[in-house]
Amino acid sequence: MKALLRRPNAIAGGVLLLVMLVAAIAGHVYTPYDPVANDLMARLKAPSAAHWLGTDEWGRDVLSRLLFGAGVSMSISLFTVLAAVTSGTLLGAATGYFGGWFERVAMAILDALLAFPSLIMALGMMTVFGPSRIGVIAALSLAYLPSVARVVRGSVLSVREKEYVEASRVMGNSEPFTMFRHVLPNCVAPITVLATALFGWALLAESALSFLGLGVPPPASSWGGMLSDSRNYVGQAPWLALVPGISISVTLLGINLFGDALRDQFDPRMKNL
Amino acid sequence: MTAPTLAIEGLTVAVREADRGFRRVVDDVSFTIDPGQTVALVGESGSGKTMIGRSVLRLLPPVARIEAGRIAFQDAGVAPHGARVQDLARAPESSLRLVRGRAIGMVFQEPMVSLNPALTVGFQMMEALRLHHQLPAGEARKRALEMLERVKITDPAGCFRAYPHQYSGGMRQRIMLASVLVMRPALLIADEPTTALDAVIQKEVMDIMAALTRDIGTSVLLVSHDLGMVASYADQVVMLRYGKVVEAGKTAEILLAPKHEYTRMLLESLPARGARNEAKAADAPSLVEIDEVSVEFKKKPRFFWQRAEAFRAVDKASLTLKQGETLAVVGESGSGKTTIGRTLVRLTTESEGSIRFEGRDITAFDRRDLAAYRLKTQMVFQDPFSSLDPRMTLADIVAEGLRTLPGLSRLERDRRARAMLAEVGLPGDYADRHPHELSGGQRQRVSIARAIVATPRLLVADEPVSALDVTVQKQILTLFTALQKKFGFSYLFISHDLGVVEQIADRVVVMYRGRILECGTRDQVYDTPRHPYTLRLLAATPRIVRTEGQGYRLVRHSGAEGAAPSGFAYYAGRGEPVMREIAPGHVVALEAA
Repeated sequence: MKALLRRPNAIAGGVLLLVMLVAAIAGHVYTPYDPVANDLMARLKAPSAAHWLGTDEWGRDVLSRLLFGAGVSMSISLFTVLAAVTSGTLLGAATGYFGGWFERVAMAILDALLAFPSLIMALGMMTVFGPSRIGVIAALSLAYLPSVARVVRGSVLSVREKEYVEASRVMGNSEPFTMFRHVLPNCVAPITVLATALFGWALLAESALSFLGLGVPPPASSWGGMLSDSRNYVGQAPWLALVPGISISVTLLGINLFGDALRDQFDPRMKNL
Repeated sequence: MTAPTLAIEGLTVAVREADRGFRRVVDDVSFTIDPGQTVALVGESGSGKTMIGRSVLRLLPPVARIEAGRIAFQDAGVAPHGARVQDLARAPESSLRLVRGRAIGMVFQEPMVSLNPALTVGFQMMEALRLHHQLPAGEARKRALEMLERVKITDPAGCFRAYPHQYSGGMRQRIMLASVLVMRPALLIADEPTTALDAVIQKEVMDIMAALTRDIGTSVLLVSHDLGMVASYADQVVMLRYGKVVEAGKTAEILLAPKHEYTRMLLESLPARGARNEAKAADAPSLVEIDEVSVEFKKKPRFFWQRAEAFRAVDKASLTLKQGETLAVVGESGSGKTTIGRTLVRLTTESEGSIRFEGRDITAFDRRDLAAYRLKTQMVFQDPFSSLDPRMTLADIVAEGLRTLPGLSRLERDRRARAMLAEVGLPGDYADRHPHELSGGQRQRVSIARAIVATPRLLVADEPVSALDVTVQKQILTLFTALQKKFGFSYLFISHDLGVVEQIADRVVVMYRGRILECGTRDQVYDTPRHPYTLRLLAATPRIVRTEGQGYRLVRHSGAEGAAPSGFAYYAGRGEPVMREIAPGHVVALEAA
């Protein structure tokens, strides 16, 4: 942990993420206005002392919606990534390590799933799950699972051939032990990179689903929902697009910086760099 | 006296390192190559020999740069009215392109990756001819076919249309030679051209290269670490160490009557036959008895509904390993020697036959028996860079060897691991380092420590010194011998290197295409080899041995090469062989009558 704090990437990324995390928590505890209360007298007001980040087409306070949406969006992304990475890693590792007919069948199914764009997949699944937070998470993580499994399987296949994996078997270690002790830890780098990228995709996909009315049901706010609501007012009220857009970008930047630092930290070969 | 083809003066190359500025990897090196001569750059890894070879064509990696020096190349081809001398160290990129390929050819170490897999052999050969000589397609084709014939490709026209992956490593290296020499370059740079090849094929390729360059009049800059090969093929030797020239001169003078201490040290490090410990193996009880074991691998079918075709890697092999002895298995790649070792440590399973260890049949072991067996057999792997988990410290790596031993606390395992690391020559704070901080030889020590920490009975060592420099190789072999003396291990030593085997083995098994062809004590196999394949193998391995006085001698086994008398069985498909004992303990495969 101390070593991690010596990395400029880790510090910068960590600070950004921390700010976003505080915002997300704050948004569920206190917001200046009720994020869902309409005030039709104060529609599309530019940022001012009363509304720091202005108001939207229903006169709702953008700052309040942003803070509340932070929690919604980030938790959706976070749980999507966790679910997709965990299940994808297990599945990819199992197929890569054990091979045989299990691999052939599993990979054939995953390849078939991979043939659909993940957003289309998510769309299809949303119609099953219905619009809700859990639904979005389930749909997105299922949609991303095949790509995670593919990446993990690829790197397991290359690590599996290393002589230290054979050495582990010769020492009498069980297959699961070898898997978790030698194979998976050496696949962490590509998994971390993918996980950080997934976090970004999930944030954007959530907005795309909201855009189509399949995301978090209104009037509750999410960043993606705010972004898609802003589309009709970009000329009149650009802050409506800018505020969630910048928040998404900053979060992604933080995640990427932190992810890179984590990956380097986990690699002993990079320890002294 | 004609001017030299290549004259290098004061060449200095530096490599940029992270935060440390530039480090000189080639330091003030000067030598010349006369027309038609073969000059060898010899040295261990890190001596800068490859850098010099690459400097000539300015194919250096991006982090390296030439700091000083002159590379004068006598380019007889460019100006028809007379030779023109170019300084390749400073020549502009445009004139380098005229030189590369046309006037100076290069053959690389890895035949598997130096030909473009997506293009036919013919296309690749004609490409350069048409580019540099503006030959019409018909003429280029004719010359390419001629050259393929001269490198002894049996079906030149077929080869012309074929793709590189259809050929083995040795054939590809011949094709590579053909495609480089078809340009009739003034100079050929051969960087470890046969290092990746088996001994017999190595000799074939080198013989072809020597004959062809002599005919064409091409000078050769041979980069190699193999002293025996250099002594057989080079006219001049430049001995390098840490980027500096240690000694240079005629091959016979440098390698057979060395004056410099470093050269002598290198020669002393070459494996040599030690006194055999007769008492050790004479009538010790046997530890492993392999009886008629075959191992089959399934080829991956093209479609998943197809049945997998089987391929026999080991074909009815029988051998015995006695307690405390070193049994070496030699053979080229694909001979099944590694498979035998892997079957013994249960990384692969035999398809038939029985293997007895301490009298018990291990092929019938259940989980518990297998766990106990695994504590008694261990393996040392070939590649020191892939055999250690990069994420673990050395102490953790070695301690893992004790994990399955019951009743040991974590602390006790750590203590024993550290003691074992000290035993193999990595004392003190080495234990807390990671593998990437070690050299190849040190990593191999860790690999050995991990294998022996639970004091097994049998150690399978698969090419454990092949990836190491001769001086390090000697240290590791010494370590093997010392550990055997101390702990009484039995070794199954798998190697393609006859020199190494001669030094360490008590008994030798020769394998070819899955079959055991000859088996006997080391002296029987090396001094009175009977099987024609063994003879060929020995004849393909030049060795430098010490003479009575201060000097050295180049020895090539002068077996009846090629003259295979009938009656000796080679490999599967020619009927079942019979193993006949021709002298006590000396067995040869004969064709069934």
